[in-house]
Amino acid sequence: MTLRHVEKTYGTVWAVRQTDLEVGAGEFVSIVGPSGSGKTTLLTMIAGFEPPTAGSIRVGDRDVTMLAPNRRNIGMVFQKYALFPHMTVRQNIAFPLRMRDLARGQSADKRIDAMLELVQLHGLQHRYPHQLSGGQQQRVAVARTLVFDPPVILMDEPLGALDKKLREAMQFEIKRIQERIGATVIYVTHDQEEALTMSDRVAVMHKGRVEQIGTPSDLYSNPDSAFVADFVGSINFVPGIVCGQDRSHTGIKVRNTVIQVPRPTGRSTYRQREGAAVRIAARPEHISIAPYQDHDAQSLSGTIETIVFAGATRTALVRLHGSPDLVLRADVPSSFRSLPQRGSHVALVLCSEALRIFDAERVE
Amino acid sequence: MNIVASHRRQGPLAAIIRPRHASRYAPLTSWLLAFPLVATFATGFLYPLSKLVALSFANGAESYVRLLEDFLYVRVMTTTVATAAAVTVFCILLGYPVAFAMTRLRGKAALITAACVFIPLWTSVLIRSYAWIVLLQRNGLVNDFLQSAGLSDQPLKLLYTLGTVVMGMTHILLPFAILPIYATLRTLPPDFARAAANLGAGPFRTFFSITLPLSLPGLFAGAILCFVLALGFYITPALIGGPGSMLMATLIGQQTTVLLDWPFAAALSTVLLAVALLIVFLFRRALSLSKGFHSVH
Amino acid sequence: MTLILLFLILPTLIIIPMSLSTTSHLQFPPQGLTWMWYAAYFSDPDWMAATWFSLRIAIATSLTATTVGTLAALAIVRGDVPFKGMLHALSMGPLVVPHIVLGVALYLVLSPLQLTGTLAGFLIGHTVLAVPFVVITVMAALQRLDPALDLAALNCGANRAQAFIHVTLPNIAPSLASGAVFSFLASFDEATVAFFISDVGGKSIGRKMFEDIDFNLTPVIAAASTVVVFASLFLIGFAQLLLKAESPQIQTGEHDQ
Repeated sequence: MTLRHVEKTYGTVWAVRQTDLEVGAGEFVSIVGPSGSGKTTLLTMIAGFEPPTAGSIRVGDRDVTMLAPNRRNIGMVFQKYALFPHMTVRQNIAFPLRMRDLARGQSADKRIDAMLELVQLHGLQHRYPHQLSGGQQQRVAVARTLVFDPPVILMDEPLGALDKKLREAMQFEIKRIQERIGATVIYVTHDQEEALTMSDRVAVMHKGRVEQIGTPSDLYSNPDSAFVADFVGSINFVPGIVCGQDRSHTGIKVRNTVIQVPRPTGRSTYRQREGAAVRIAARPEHISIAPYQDHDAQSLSGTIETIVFAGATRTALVRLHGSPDLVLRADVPSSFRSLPQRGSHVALVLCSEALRIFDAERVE
Repeated sequence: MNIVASHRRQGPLAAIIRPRHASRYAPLTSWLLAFPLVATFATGFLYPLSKLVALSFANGAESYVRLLEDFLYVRVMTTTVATAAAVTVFCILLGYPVAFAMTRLRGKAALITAACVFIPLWTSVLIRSYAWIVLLQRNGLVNDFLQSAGLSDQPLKLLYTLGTVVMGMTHILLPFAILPIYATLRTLPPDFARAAANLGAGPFRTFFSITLPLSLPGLFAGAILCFVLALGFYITPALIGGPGSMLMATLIGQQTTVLLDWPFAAALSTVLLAVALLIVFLFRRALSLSKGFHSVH
Repeated sequence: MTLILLFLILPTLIIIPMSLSTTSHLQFPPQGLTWMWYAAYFSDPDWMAATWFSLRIAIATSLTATTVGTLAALAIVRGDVPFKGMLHALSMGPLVVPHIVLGVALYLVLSPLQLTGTLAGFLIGHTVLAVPFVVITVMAALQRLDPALDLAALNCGANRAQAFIHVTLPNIAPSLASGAVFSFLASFDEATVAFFISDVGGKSIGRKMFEDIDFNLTPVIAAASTVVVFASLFLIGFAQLLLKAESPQIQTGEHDQ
């Protein structure tokens, strides 16, 4: 499936700016972004619920840009499932076949049975949607979409209405079904964790634009922009000034400390002006806490505000010395001899290989 | 290449037969859906009303001049407004406690209260006016009671007075005051009252500083509804009112059925119509018609 | 509180003993019980003619008002037209125009066309009066209905008409039916407009009652009223059941844009 230069404006307001997106057969692509980033609008245009202002949408070699939604043959799982409340589970699943005049005959029955089997709802086929749990409703919605074998399946925050435990279970369920039938899925969510877990590739949308598209690990370790870095995973931004760069590193001065950040390879044009205000981006796992006496010219120092328990690790919130409004999150290594105490002074060592530099935040 | 192709298909025709978003109908479909209503209302509502207004000016402004010059007619108009105002005040004073109780009561008591509000609402105005006649006539139940209790030694004239009309109209319009108030009270989250109580307000303070102000929109809607309906009320004043309680509506009835002065009746109707529309227009926000009336069901 | 409720309900209930009382004016305790006023009602050709005429008007009104009102509600809630607000305001118009004004106005139009006292004349007047009730009920049902259901139907391959017939209509059907009941009653119980557009040849039950109350007060009116009240309450109860049946199944929800 291919989107070329797709745009959507409402009056003078941009909902989606020129967007190109290519999704291969059998691929699972997520679109993530905060609310209002245009991800749902993009999805409704693919489904045909509203026409794009410009651009084209193709499925295989078919141009579907202006095709009515009922003739697109693109499946969609809705945010709140949109199951027909007056139909049983089986009738819901049969509906797409009925609309295609395929509902009668043994092959249709077999097809519906196969779908019920796939989503493990065989025993509940004569129930009405309101008699089902959230997770079961979700599976009916998936089955109703799969039954007509659409070449592309759209999912609009399909797990948004479920609680955390069920959501995780359903993530695996959807992934299992998708892999089993080799479906092409475009999955919209605001939950970046969900996107990273499930997808082959993830597109991050921001203000109507796709900021970056790539594999989950790509996005996590090589974010193109501060927005992506911030949106995917948790990250610290430390403001500093560029001071001296050589072929391999850029020096960033943060108060009295100069931190050497490797220059990204393959992007030779990316060169900071001397004295420019920038931000160093560092993930919590790339900041390590050391006893205060280890503090040197390469490390920062601060006071531990609090320590947050996060399962396998603990995260320390450290207020930097000399920058009272800057609090960094740093993972406390399990190897740490004894847990640092609240209020103790510590040194913060930034793992320079994993750091990234972005322009200083502009006040917009 | 596809860009050009897809743009060409968006002609002016496409703009009316294609919806902007699939959750809405296309403009053409929408017009077709609205057409029966527009046609029906044009013939059965707008045209008759405009004909009425036109007729009122049949002799120039003569009818209106007469209306303003004759003391009798001016008094009818002031009586009408005063009656409607009195009915509105009574409806609110009597209706608020009932609406409030409806939000608090549970089980059987709630059911009985609801029945007492809804059964009269869906009983014909005629029947309820008739019931008042039965109760209040010279040999009616109330007079029987008063006499047997020794409060009066001869039948009192209870019917055909302005007071009776006000009471009858209050009785008939009461549900229209209760339901909008009830609708607003029901949507108030109980948390507000609980928060107030938690912050130290007694039940009395909680009611007057929290519940009552928050329910004012419903109270206002109910009041306007009652007032407008009372202004044009015909059946009840016609049946249980007397010559001393002539109102706009009964005057119109008299002009059309007895005196057959249609232009003058049309002028009276136009004035009534204008006043009703003006009030609704002025208070259209507070009224939110469909909300107020929806609760009627 | 109790007094207010009694004030509300007693005058309605009083007609029942009245209709059964042997004396022509109500006495307490009643002197005796009789069905004779009911017999009188059912055997009086005038009353029967008015009743049947009103029934025919009410059924026809209910059908037209439900159709017109439902289509208009669809245009208002789901449509894409400018002046939607005006359309809505227009459909609510008959609620704010005093009935006597509309009665006089309709008489002015119907009389020269010799349509007073005819089914057609009543039909147009009562349809206008009943449409607001249908619009309100159906609009509320449409607003409760998740708009994604329609989109889901389209996505499943249904065209517009199929989406409406298979998905929207079954889900608003109870409200639609109760709208029909309300418009039936709005027509059957209506007296003011009927007062003006009736004539000697065609009299609605409202007009007939009005005349009888005004000129010859007999317990036959009470009997007729009782019959009407019970029939109305039966219909309303039916409508309430329909509305109740609708509520648990409907899932509401708004769509994230």
